Amino acid sequence: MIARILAATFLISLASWTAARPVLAAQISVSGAGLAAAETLDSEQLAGLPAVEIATATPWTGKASFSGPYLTDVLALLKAEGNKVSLIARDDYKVELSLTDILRYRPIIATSMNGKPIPPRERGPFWLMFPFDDHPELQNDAWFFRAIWQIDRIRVEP
Amino acid sequence: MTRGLRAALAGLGLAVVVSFSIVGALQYALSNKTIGVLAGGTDNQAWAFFQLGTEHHRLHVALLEASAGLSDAAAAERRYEVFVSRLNIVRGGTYRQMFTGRAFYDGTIGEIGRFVDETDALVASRGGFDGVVVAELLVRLPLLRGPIQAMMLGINSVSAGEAAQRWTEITAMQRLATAATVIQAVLCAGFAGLAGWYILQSSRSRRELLQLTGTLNQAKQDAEAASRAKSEFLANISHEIRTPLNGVMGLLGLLVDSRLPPEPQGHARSALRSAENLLTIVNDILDLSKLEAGRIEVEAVDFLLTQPAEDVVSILHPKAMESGNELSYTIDPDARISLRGDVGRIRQILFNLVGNAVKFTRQGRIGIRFTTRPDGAGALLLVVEVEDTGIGIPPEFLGRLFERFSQADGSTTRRYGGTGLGLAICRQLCLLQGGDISVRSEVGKGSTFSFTVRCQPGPDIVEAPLPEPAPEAVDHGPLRILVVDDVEVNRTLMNSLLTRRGHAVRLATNGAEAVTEVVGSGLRLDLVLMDIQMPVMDGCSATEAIRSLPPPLGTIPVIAVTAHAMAGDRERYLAAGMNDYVSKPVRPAELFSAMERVMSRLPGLPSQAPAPAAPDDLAETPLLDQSMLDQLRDCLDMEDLTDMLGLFPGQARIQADEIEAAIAGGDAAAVKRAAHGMKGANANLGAQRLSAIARAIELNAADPEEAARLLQLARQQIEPTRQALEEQFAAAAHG
Repeated sequence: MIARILAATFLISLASWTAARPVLAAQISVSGAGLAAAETLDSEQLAGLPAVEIATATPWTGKASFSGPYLTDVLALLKAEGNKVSLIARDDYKVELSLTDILRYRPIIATSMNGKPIPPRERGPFWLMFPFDDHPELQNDAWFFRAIWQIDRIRVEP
Repeated sequence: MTRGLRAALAGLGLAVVVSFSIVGALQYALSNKTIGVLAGGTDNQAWAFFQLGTEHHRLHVALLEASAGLSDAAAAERRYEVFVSRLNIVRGGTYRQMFTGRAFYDGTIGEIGRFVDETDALVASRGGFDGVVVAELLVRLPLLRGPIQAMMLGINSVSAGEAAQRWTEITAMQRLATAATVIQAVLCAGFAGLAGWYILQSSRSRRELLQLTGTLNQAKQDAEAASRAKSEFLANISHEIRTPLNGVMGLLGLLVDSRLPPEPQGHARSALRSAENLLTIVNDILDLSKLEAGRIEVEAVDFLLTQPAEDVVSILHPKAMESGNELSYTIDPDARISLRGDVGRIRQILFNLVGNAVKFTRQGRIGIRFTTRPDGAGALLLVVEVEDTGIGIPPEFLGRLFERFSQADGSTTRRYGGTGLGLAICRQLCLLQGGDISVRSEVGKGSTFSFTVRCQPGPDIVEAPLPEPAPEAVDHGPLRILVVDDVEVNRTLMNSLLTRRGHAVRLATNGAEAVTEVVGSGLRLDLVLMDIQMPVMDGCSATEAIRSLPPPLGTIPVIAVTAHAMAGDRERYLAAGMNDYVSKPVRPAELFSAMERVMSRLPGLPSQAPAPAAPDDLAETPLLDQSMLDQLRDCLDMEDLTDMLGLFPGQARIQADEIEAAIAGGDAAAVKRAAHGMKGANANLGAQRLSAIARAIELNAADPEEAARLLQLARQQIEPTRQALEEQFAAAAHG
């Protein structure tokens, strides 16, 4: 069913709105358990972590290849420890993930799609991505809605 | 199961299948619909548009804060970028597909798109998102509120409409599904009802069948019981008929033997012949009904295949010659000669078939062929074929040939005689012995009857190792022995057995030859081994003839060698004057011990002979045989009885005189013959005591003194017997 929708989905090229624009310095602020104060992660720090590639279909992109560090690596980098992680987007959209799910499905913070950085106007620059194709149980709205884009803040809960 | 029911069930089944298909299709449509709804709601529509509206507000707030100096332009730019991303989402794939062509969407999206293009151009021209851009946007951004509001309302109404339509569709589908379910339920109920009804029907018919089976079984048992009872009755009644018939024949015999004028003499002879025919019929009925009543047991004795063959051929040969027929038998070279089975019954079947063949063949050939083959169960099947070149049997009669009272046609009986029971008896005898009988025939060409009986293989015909003579046995040295047997195999066997023992052997092939041998031998014979069943003159007659020779020839020991080892046979042989007997097939040890016994006893009386009854016993024998008299009274009328009573004393005295004359003449055989006649005649009259005394005389014929003493006793019985008879018959006359 998803496949049919994806096949039917027509993505317009938005090159006209994305080209020739200086990308704003993007950051993610991380706070919560195990952290004395809020920390800031920028694109460079994320790029410094080992990049993982996930090739999967999504309702918004069809089949695409995403790449970025594991969320677990990001948390480890900041020595954040907790049982729950909240991610909040620039438009205040918010999702909660349990550590169990994070460890089981290993989502990444995708910073590029099909080898290109993701512009903010196209759900960039930081997009939480799950390997949907590897786990049939993830192929439903409950999980698609957890693939939060335009990540702005991360809060680690005890 | 009726055709209608089957059709109804098939129809119902089809309906159920169809309704399931309908429901399946509905479910498929519903789920597709649901998928469509889900596809529409993959990125919640209302949320996406609401977010666009919200970001419009937040951008407005950020612009106001930037212009008031509460925040910088970069914060406002970040909000602007988010606003643009929301626009991109709303004008992206799914939404665009769903709402293109609707005024509120196309208008608003176009307007916001133009706003973004102009803003981007402005930002590009200013080289960044600065205060000028903020001020410009503060003027133009509020202009989007109206279109966005309109779009929100439009989307809302579309959603509501779609929801309503979906609701309608789903409701309709639900109704359809409910209807289909109801139909299904009804069909299933009907199906279940029919199935239940069918199960009930079939169980009822099964019960009926069981009842019917029970009834039929009962009927079968009743029929079998009735048939058995009928056979039992027939067997009993024919047995009962035989006794008075014997009486009638005895009396007729007496009449024929008496000095009557020619005409009544002729009548008496005719009557005797009729009685004999009647006896044959009664005997056949008795045989058949005994067979059918299952009263006949199959015997198992060892015999050589040549015995029944020789017996039958030698008996029927003269008759066959009379009508110009050749009669011969062959035994298949591979056949087993030594068998164990009911040789008497085999002989009876063979005699019947060959008798028929002789009867229905003129100037032709009758051949008997014996073969054996394994029956697969460790036993042997003896196959006998009797082929003739006689008149043949029309095909329409072949099927009924082995049924009771069936002859090829009604005139057969008149032309050829016979009861029509012979073949039925043969068939029963074959079945009884685990075989069967069949016939092939062509009218004018001849017939072939073929029957099988199951036999066990008999002992191998090999020379047994010679038994060590018992230490106390007297050695009589080599003996001169006459072997009398009509079957060559037997003669050869005996010859080799005896000559190996050092005895000298002479051979004879029948009783007459044996008597001639004994007479011609002078004193050169010590012992006779006598077969019983032989053509020309049988063993018993030959022995009686030998015993009637003057001593010492008449006292030569005779041992019966016979397959007839039935109860009663022994007495018969001893009564005929034989000293001992051995049964066939001859086992050397038995033969030699019998010879030993006979030779050691000499000269003496055969101890095996039953001791004649003491006078006291004879005197105590009932004067009359009441049951015999009852039968006589049943069969004969008063006149006959009176006649008989009149004849009796004279007859008895004549017989007594004959015996006396024979004793006086020293003629043991004549004594025996006369006593035998007296015995039979008195038995037929019911004069039991006289008959018993006559039998004692017969047994003691070789002892003149004892015979004379017994004869005296017999004479004393005549008058009391007559009186007793008179009382009996007078009672009958007046009772």
